[in-house]
Amino acid sequence: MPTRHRPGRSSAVAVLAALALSTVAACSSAPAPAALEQNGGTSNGAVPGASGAPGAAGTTGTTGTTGTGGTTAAGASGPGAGTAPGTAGTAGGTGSSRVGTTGGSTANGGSAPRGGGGPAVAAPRSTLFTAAEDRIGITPSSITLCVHAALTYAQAFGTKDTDFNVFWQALNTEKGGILGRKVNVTYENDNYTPTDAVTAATKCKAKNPFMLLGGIGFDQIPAVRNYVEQNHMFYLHHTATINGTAGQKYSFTELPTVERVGEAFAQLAGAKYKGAKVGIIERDSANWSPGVQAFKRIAPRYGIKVVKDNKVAQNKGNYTQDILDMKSAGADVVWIWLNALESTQLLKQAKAQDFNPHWLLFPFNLTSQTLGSDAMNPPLDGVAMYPAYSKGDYAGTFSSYAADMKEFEAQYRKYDPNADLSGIGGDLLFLNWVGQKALAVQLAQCGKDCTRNRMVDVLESYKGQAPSRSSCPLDFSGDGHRGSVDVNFMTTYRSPSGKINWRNTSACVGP
Amino acid sequence: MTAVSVHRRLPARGLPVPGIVVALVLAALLPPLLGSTPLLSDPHALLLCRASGIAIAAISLNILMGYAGQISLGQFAFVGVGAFTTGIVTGTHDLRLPWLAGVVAAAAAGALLALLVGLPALRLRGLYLAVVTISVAYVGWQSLFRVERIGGGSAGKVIPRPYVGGWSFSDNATYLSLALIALVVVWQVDVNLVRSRFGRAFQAVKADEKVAASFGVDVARYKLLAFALSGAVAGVGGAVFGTAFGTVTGDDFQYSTSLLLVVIVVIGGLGSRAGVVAAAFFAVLLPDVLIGIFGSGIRGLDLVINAALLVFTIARHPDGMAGAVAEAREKRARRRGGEPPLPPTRPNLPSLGRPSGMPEPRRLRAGRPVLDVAGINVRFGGLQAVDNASLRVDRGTIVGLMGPNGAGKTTLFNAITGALRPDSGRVALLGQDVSDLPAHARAALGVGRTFQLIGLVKGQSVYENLLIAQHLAAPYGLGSGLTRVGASRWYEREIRERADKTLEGLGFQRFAQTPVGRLSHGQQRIVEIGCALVTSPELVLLDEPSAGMSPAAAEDLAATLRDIRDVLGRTVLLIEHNVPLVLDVTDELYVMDAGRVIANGEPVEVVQRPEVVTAYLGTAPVREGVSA
Amino acid sequence: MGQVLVLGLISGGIYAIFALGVVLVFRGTGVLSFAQGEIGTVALYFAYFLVTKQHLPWAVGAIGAIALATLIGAAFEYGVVRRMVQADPVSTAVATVGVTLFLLAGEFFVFGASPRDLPAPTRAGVELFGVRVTPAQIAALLLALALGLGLQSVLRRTDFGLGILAAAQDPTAVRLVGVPLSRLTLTIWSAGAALSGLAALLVEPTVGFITPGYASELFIVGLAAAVIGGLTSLPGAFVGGVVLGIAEAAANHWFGQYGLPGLRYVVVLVVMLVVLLGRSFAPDLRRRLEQPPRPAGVTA
Repeated sequence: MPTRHRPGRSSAVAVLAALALSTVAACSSAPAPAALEQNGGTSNGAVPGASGAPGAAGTTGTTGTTGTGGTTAAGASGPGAGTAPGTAGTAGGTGSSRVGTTGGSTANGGSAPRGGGGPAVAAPRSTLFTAAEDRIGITPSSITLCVHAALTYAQAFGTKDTDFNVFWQALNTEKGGILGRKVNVTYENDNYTPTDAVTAATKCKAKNPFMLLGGIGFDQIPAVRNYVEQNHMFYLHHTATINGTAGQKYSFTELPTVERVGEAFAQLAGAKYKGAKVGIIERDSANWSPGVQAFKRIAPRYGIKVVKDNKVAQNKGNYTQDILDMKSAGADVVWIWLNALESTQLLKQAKAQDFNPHWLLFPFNLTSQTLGSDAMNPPLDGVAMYPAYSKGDYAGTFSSYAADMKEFEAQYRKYDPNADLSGIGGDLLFLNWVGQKALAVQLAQCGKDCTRNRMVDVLESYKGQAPSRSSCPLDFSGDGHRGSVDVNFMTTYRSPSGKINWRNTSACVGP
Repeated sequence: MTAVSVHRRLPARGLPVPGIVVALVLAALLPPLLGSTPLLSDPHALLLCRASGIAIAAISLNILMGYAGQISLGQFAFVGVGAFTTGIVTGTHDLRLPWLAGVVAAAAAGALLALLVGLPALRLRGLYLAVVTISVAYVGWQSLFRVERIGGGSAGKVIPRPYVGGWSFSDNATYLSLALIALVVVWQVDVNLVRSRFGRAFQAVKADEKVAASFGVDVARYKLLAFALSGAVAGVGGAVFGTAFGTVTGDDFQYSTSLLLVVIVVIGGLGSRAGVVAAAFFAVLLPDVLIGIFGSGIRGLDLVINAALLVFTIARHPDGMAGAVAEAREKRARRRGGEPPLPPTRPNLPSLGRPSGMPEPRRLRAGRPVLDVAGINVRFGGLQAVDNASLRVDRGTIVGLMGPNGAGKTTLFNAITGALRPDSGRVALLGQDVSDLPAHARAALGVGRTFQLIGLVKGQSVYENLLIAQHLAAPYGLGSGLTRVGASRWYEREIRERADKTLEGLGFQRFAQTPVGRLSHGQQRIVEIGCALVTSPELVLLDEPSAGMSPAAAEDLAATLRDIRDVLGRTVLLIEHNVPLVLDVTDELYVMDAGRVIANGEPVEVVQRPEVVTAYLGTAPVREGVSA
Repeated sequence: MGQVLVLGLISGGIYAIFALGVVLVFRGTGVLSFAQGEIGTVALYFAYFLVTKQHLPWAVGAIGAIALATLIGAAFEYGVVRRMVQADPVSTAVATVGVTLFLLAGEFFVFGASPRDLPAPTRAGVELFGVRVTPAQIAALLLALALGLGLQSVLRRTDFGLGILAAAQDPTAVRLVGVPLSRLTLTIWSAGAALSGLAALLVEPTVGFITPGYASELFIVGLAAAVIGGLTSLPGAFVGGVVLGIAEAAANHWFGQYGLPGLRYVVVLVVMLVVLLGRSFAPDLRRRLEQPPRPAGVTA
């Protein structure tokens, strides 16, 4: 496990910072397409408007604490950079709830590429990759990325494989890539099973990518983590358990862990339904149960009592018995700890059985639109690692990242006009886009002489910044591999277009 | 499969010993060498590992369906059990034992589960067994493999790669060596199986259980053995397959994969090892080949092609590709050389002693009969097939049993040999009461028999039949049989010598490799008699041996029968319709009618009795009678 | 308890309809068809296509689906079964396995693995013992019963039906007598396939999403029900279906909460083994009870 917890003090970091950290961190996500449970993404909230005066002037580092700082400026290289991140202190990782606070970080992102480049580069801090491994997948004119994701389910969300590559297409076409490097991304279908995920990772490895990106899949990611550990790939993945990662060095995530998300559900239930009787319907899997254990651990803090806990096999199909069990146990709140498709099925069957508790689940427009007004009866509650999206609605809690939404819609209008952003897959495409944007920012921060080790440095230098306005702040100073603990709370609402979508109620909520 | 449709022959030899060494060396060295070149990429190596696992599974299904004729539509459940067991035994959070221990455990677990499935298989026929196996496949996929303890729920079970010292087989090309070595070993074991008494016994059970029992094969035990062996090999396949991927879930062992395995085995040709392995590789590699040629838009079409191929093959060639190849080969051989001349119909049966593998028959006190049957009653529904029948056969005699059709002669035979259980009555063989013994046990005491419709394994060659008939003369164990070490070498040599001598005596050397089904009826009968005598049984029961023979051939048969009695010193009980033959050879004659023994005594005298003539002709006896 | 009964009857009706299809084909042609399940899935996909892509009403989709199923059954009989007249039933059964794989592959190819949603026709329902039952589910049970009895009398009492029974036992004789054999078997296979389509349709509103292989999972239970019922008895098939449905509901009720997955299949296996083995041991048992004791072995 890397032991660098460098506060941004040394000059080397300052230089690096000058190159890189412009914007700020956020809960950025793994740029994963086909997100089923969650997406990495961004959380809105953070953004906050600039405020933060562009730091310029070195304050680098100052402000002691967690650096944030430092960066400064300008430099920004890369897209989205923009203004300097907050200077002065604040920010930075102080604990929780960076909602809205600008705290320093943030830079509004904006796309304007700022020139920049920075002074000469120093040697990277990280020594994770050997000299031979360090420059795999990156040349002066290209960066190769490979993604394993559940492409099988793209159609269930009303999308096609090609819908997920618009950001990179736009970036390559309009800006010539990142610092002159075109970003080539290929996707391998992991079929949403661990075995096929390993096969997909193997296929990706054969293409010698700079980074392997892991899309949504609580069960797939642990299998691939084992694989990359033995094969020394640079793996950036979606949410997964921290359980089982002891000793693993090659996997990174910018999203909260499964355990943290489970906790967050308890937080949400506690905040809204203090003292309630909660029923849980959970996926039977060693990769899902840590979330439930975390939930149960902090539930007493909010006076929540778990009255029934049913484990169900994947794709069980018929949940009638479980629904009746919840009913007879008297649950007023039911937490569905299953993926979006399973949750939708379950909710349909529950409505058919006339069972209407408060529901907690992963928030996807697929679920809310499929259920229609049933999803308002009562409104559903959700915890997510990505921002909410509702096409054309820039008001209320969408306003802080409305600029990103508009940019997203503009790009799709230009490069993929047939994609239905207002449909059941719109939010999936948006969260995927946001994640890709955050990664682009970080790749830019890696600089002209980017290598894998330098990219590791970039990740680990995030201590309270968000890579884009739609993301939550990142902080890799813990174990150097997991950078976020912030989630968004959401609820269903009737959007101006008439469709039932999700919107944020609180953004970037910490523990 | 119809009996004579394809001439399946068991290969006389597999890879010669040096061959297996070559194969092992190639398997060990080639993949890592190729792996460092662009010829063998990592994903391709993984795919080939998968193909090897499936090929091993296909061999396992071939043992069950191709050799033993037991239908199994859920084979992948056994493969899955093997994979998960390996994970439990070698996993870092489980037992953490070395990989080889995992493979052994996988084989054991597969064998155990298959045995559990095999037990009901003893009582269930064909289609019922098929439905039970489907059900087992579903239980495995949807239930057993998803239990968190066993399969980790949807997380799956992690199966670490094997390691030696500090170095692990994590590179796919290196692991491929291991997978191929496993395949070669399984292949060789299968070759040995087929050459051993076990493989022959399976073939006999598949062809005709009654015939197998008459050769001393304990049918129930061998069915279970076939299941257990098949399960063990499937378990090994699971270990190989699962370790390749590192993580397996229940969904990797779906019902449709079991069906695919059936497709592979049927298309490859039931009973043909090479065909089955080739079909396995073809089926696994086809999707990627298609994608390579046509691009990824073709994904999914490969399964369509596979399935269409199956339906087509079954419709045109029920015996699969290997069957089609064999047919073509036969046609070519037939075109090349004409039929060999007919062998002499008067065989010279060799006087072989009792085989060393069989115990000496019980010593019989002078005057006691070799066979003593008392009060046999057999009832089929409303029909009394055998009604209080008794007979005795003295040593060194030929006793005849005559009667019109439907008199119950064959039923009585079946009761004597144990092919059926009479409702009451007693059978004593060489002084020992065998009434409670099953057919194969009675065969072990020294009874040989022939059947009305030729009791041979029609799909096998003459030589193989002679070996099958000596099943009891080669009592070596399974371990010895599968490794060809120890007792099996000794016994196999002995029974092959005896078979050679018998072949010579019969004059059938040219027909040694000919499938029995292709011989003429008379030739088959002679082979059958040879098989009945090859273990030197004390008592031989012949059921209408002269049926379908010309008068000249029947005369030769009479001479043969006398030889059996005089030269070989055996005792014969003979069902016959051919009166001159009966009068010529028998020392004593029994006549049955409507289930009852209506006459017995000196042959010439018995045939003239009025009740006997009435039984045959139905009306008033002809005055002049039949004279010898 | 009532809950178990209601849930059991709901699924039992579906299993019974599948079982009736199996028995009909088996009794009429001597072939055990493993393809019936997948025919149901294909029919369902077709209904999905008509209702969600072509925006036709549910009733039209349903009729279209059953029609397609019937067509597939007929095509299979005409294209494959007819050519395998000489083959033994096991080979023909394996051919139906091939058809299953073919249809499965087709579904993957055309629709992909993504689950599809066919909205239910109505929201109406009746509450029984705490369980809300939809009209489709009630219809399934009643239809199964009606079809079971109806088909039974068609087979036993009409000339057509008797022709079918005779054809299964001795096709040559039937042909000699002048009965149009090919038309009979065509009808049988088509009817069997239609039943599958019907069953699949009636289930879907409950369970939610259509995926490849969807109906086969239920079909297996129907197959087991047919086997339990004796494989040749239509009322037996109905009873078998209901028994399995109730057993499954009971098992889910008592053991489901422990997360033991796939109880339905465990129940099927256990019940099937008990019934089949019991039936195979019965004649031996009967004989042992009726037979006079055998005298102790006496050596000569």
